[in-house]
Amino acid sequence: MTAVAPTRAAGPGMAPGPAAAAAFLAIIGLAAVFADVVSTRDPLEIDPNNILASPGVRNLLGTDELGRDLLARIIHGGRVSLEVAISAIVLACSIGIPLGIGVAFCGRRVETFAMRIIDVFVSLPEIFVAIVILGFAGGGLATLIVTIGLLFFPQFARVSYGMTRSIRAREHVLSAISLGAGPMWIVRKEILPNMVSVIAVQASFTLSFAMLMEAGLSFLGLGVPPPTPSWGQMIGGLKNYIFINAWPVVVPSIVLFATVLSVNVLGDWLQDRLNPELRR
Amino acid sequence: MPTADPIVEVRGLTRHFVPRRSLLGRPLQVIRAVDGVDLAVRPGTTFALVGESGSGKSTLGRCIARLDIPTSGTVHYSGRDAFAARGAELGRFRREVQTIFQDPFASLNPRRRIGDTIADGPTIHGLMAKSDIHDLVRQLLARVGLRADHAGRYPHEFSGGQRQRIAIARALALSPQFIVADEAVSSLDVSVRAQILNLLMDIQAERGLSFLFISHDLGVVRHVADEIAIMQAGKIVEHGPADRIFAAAEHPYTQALLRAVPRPDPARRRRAQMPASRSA
Amino acid sequence: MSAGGALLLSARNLTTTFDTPSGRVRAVDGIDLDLRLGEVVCLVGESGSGKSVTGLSLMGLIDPPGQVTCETLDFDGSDLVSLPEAEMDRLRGREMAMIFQEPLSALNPSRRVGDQIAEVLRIHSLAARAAAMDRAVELLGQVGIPDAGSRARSYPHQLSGGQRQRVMIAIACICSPKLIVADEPTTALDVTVQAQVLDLLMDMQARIGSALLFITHDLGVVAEIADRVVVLYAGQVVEEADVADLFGSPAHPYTAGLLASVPNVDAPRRRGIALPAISGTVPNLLELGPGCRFRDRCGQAHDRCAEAPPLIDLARGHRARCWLHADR
Repeated sequence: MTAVAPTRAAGPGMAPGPAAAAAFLAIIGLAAVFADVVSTRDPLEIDPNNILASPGVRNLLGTDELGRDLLARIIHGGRVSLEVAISAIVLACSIGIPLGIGVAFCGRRVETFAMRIIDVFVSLPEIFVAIVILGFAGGGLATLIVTIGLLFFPQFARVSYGMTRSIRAREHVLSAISLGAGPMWIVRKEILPNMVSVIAVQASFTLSFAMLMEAGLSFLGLGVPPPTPSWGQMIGGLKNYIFINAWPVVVPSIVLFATVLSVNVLGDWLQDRLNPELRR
Repeated sequence: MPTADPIVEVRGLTRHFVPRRSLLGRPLQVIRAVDGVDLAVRPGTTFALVGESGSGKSTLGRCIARLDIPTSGTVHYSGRDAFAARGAELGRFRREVQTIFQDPFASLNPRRRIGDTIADGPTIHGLMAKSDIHDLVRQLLARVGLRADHAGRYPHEFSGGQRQRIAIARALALSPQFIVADEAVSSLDVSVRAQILNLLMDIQAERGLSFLFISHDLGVVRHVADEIAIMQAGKIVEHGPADRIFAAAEHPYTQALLRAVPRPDPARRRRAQMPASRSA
Repeated sequence: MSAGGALLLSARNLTTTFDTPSGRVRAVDGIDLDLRLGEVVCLVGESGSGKSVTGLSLMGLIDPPGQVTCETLDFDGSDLVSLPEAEMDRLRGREMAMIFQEPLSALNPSRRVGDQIAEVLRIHSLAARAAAMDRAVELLGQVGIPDAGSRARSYPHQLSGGQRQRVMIAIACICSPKLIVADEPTTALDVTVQAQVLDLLMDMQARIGSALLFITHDLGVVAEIADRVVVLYAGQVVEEADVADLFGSPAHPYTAGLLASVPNVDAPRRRGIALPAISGTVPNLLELGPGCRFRDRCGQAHDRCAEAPPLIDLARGHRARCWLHADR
């Protein structure tokens, strides 16, 4: 029987919340991409005479403990934070999704075994593992991206595995089998297109986790190596001076918070849009 | 009518499910979905498999279409063991044996255009040139009562009855010999059911197809079946020519089924009508 | 004119609309309905007919973005239109009850069935905990659940489909409501179980003396149980009659087509002859043109059908929305 009515009118366009989030992220994103153009000052330029300044005419958002312009560092830091987070998610997807789909096609025993191992990975406390790995592997952006990516691939593997199993049970997949389709065809044409929306939402949420993970590691001094700015690193550096001038540490904190919040709000909106049947 | 060799012959088919095992792997609970079934479908006829939920009729249908693997027993298609088929012979089986499923909403991939879905069979088997496939899709759409320009649309744009027509077109694309119709009209509106039944019967007459018609609806079965088998708890309790079964069923379960079917004739009802207590 | 006792519910021009992204849909479009105590009225229709929505509208279970309007909706002397929600809650379960199609989703999977039945009494402050449970067990026995005392402690998933539906019937009947609305209660059941559940429902209804509005698409069931039949199409009543009149002399082409297209178990098989079928599909409620809504599928459509026909009175409480009967 056809559904009679949606219980919530799904109007066209966005509600104010997601719209604001999207706008904010667009600004952050554009600033990140065009950082060199947008930021008028050099984020690495030290000015010992002007440290920890509050916002003013010379430095729109103030300066940090080495006199570097905060606005410039926020903009460049945004680029770094987004780069790291997005690269890590892409890596996590590239490993996790094929793995999850592949495992779903194996026999019962292999599936159970593999998924138990992935469960172990998922239950590891990520920040500690990251600290250990980075402690041994040393610094550098590449190591950071790989570490974060490896920490998050199990989630994508789990989601892909679950979705592949549930989609495989659907009748349109049975139809394809009865027409003579082999596993590669089934994955390409039947499973992947029906997985995209769930993966997209998962990726958006994991993106915010990745950003927070990078911020946390940089805060601890294990992440993005100085003098390259990152928001977490800025917070880590400026927290020591909070009693001299609280404003400088507040700036990257608010920006990080707002960005992660926007990603989550947008992720929620995406979920409602793409997967309305998973609501409630 | 000369007795030709059956197109499908099933012997001793059994399908067990083991939902729970002990830690050592011993089965703790065995569900005998299909429990030692023999049947034979003569070419060009409709064999109806009737039963209530849990009777095993759908499971049997899937085993026959090689969409599920029986625990024991054999299925012979055109004289050859269906489960021993490999390579080219399996390809032939997949071309000649098609299934139409119950749920018109689930049996079509929601993310693909229906023209592509109908073309799947010939595309997978690489039998025809692209342009020929294109023509075939248009012919099939016309045959099932849809328009050629429907090929570019998605399943959600169609009604249940239309989707079932699309499923029929997809099944016909490979010029099958044997079709398993698993509750193919049960989910459809009453007024659409007759249309689809007529379409199936027409196609059978045109192409000399054989049908395994699985249904719980005795009225529908009455209209289409040449031969009937009644299933209960995994076994066939009675089978024979349709006319005989409807006129003089022997097994108590068959008789109970026939008695329980509500007749669209108030004169034959069991409940007394309320006497009119008011006049006009 | 009509069977049954006193007039219980009277609805005039009941309309239920839903706001969707594509526009406003009139799922129910100006229905008149009279229900009497002791009477079984079957509401028959296919998808898009508005039959389920009608049942939900009468029970006041339509939430925004749906909206129910009507000229009158009298239930047992109260005007339901102006009734505050608190009063509506008092009526529901006690004076008017609903049985749904899918008991697995209508029953709370995490509570025992005995509790769910007893809860109705306690919500309406008709009995304290122990007494309510006793009554629940008693009712479980009445609806044919063997070993009711221990079965009352089962969870819904431990019962079969037929048993769950019996539990639903118990929940609906425990306060002896004056109106029972049953929305396709047997559609999901096996045919042998369906027969038993129908018998039970009829039995309970006769015992309590309530009015039963039975929503279904199955004409066989209608023939079995109905006193009166109301046929819906695309949100409107297209025919209403006593059951014998409807089956014997259907006045609306849709009804006639429906009756002809149902394969009959007792009819002899005629190989190669098509089942008489209604061509076309149910119209999209968002794209209804003016004129008769059945026009595109009707074999007897003519020029006058471009104008929407009203419900025309034929004899003996038989009405049909069709110009073919305009000159009676």
